[in-house]
Amino acid sequence: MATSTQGLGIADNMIVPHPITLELYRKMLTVFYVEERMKAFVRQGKCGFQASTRGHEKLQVGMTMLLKPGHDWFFTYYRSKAVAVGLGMPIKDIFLGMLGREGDPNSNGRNMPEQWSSRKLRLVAPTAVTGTQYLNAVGMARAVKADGGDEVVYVSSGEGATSEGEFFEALNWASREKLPVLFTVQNNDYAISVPQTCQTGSEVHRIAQGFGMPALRMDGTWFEHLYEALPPVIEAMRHGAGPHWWRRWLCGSIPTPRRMTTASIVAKPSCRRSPVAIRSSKPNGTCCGMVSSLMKKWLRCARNSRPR
Amino acid sequence: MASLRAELKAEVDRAAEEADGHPQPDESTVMAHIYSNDLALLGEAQPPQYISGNEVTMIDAINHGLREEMERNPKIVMWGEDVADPKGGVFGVTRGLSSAFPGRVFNSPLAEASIAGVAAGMAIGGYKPIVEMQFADYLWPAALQLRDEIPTVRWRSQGEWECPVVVRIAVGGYIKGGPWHSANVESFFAHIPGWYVVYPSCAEDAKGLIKAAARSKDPVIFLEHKGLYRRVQAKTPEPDADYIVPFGKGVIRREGKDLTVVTWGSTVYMALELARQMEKDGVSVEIIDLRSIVPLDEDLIYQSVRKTSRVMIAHEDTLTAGFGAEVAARIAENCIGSLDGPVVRVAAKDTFVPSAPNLELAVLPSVAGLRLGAEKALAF
Repeated sequence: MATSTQGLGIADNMIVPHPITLELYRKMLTVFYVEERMKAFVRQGKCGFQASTRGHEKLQVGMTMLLKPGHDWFFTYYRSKAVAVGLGMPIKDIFLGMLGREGDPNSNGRNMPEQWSSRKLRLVAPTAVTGTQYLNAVGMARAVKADGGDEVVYVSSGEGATSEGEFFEALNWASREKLPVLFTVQNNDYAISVPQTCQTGSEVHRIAQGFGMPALRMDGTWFEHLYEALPPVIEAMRHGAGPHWWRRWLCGSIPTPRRMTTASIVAKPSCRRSPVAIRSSKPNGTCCGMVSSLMKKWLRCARNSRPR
Repeated sequence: MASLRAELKAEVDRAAEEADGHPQPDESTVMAHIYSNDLALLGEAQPPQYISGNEVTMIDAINHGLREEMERNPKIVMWGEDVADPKGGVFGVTRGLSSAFPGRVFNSPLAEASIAGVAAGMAIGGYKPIVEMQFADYLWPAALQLRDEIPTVRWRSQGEWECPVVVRIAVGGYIKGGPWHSANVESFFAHIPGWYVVYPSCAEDAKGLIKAAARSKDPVIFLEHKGLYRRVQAKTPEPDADYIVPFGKGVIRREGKDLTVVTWGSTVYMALELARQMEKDGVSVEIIDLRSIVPLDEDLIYQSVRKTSRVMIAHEDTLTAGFGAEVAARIAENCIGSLDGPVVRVAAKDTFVPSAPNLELAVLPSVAGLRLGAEKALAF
């Protein structure tokens, strides 16, 4: 895509072309305003359940821009509003779903808020049962492969759901048949309240590698990383498609480092500003940082699990 | 940037106000989309046309039904533990199918959640998976898929998505299978909206029902009693490829006028033996084989009970909260003016099925147990 940045005072050597950045920003900002408006509805008692996507916007919107909306399949979880917005669900439909009002095309008040469904967008109606969606995505990938299609099946959860047996079973089955499933784990370090160190002695991307899958571990708050790393992988998954075999597929274990999406993050100054500011925290890459933060979490976990 | 923000915020606020102006959902639609609107498989039962006078076992009947439906519908796929040739399932129900339909019938990992969960995804993707649970005792790892995912897909999306999975489950005791190979599970699934639940007791019903299941747009639990697979009494001539047993239609196995026995599965044959015995005592017993647990053929039951005025329900599953409790409650509610005696239930004792043969028989229903129940119903 041409990058026409002249006149904007932006350097031409940027990784992501400016129109794409603008589109990403526009959708992230839309999600931000939706979440802000929802807070008022929650306070008014008009919505009983909000799982904010604050901190997840860039990853979720970004993934919809790297995949093909209306072509690829999406199996989401209960914190996926930015996926729905990214795919192009009308904002009014988002609010109808959150408020559970007549005319809500997602479920008309049957499913919980935050469960997005649209056949046109190939966004499959989810449940709030975390972990189950992974096996359903594997089944859809079998259908894609049997049809000889080149669609990629995106499936996602937080890191907490990766403790569910069905996550392991899905890795196992997808691995044995080389199916085009893009496992995307959004690691915000906390499964509601439990840190990742209480979930596993391993790490999600290492678990995936154990099933013989290529696994990427990226900072989901930097779109540049996704933009550079994922397209070749997605293309490889498409080209492996066909009536016979898939050559390649991957697990993207994509942490959004040390980033909470509920009340505690709202208190952080960097998040009080626009979503664009949500790249401020440091990727958890350095050894020292890892050890120290793991140590702290382990101690907290041990303290919490001690019998009282 | 400031104008972009203002523009987006205004757009979001406008959408919020429009949505907030909508009323609450219409309550009159609350029971819609639990099942499809396809009534083709809910009609009246037609008599079978047999392909020959030779009798086949229930295993052969299911196998042939599956084969015919796979030839008819290329979207049917099958998997389960050990279902591929040469074994063709631990009971041989799917023998020959993986050879006849390469790539469409195959062995799954030994993982029940996978068996059900992958079937759900492929069904959402337009295929028709018919999967096998080797023993009902082992289906619980799939509980989330079988309760929260598969039967809610149509409901939770107002019919936008559908998930027509068929789950074949080997159930039942009297095979010395002990506590981990003898379970009955019809009452669990009857409690979950969205499933059709069928439980044939003979070869021709098994063929007619597996073919109905294979054509259903809704999810189906197909229960196969291991003790009936090769049982001589369950053999019948084989119906032709067009034979369908509709969902929700029971059948009168034997007509009578003094006592109605409502039953299904293996206890059908105990009821038939009981009827033969009691005939000698001058008591005429009518036997209803439900065939479908969901939907329940209430008309057939009520007509019979209003005729005989006395009723016993017999099933192999345990007594407490067994499906007989539901049948008894509905009879009490709808036929109270016709009843001359208590609604009696005969079922397995409320324990697990033990391994020692004498203990197994002590727990599961018997003809003698059915006789005691019948006498209780007739005593008033």
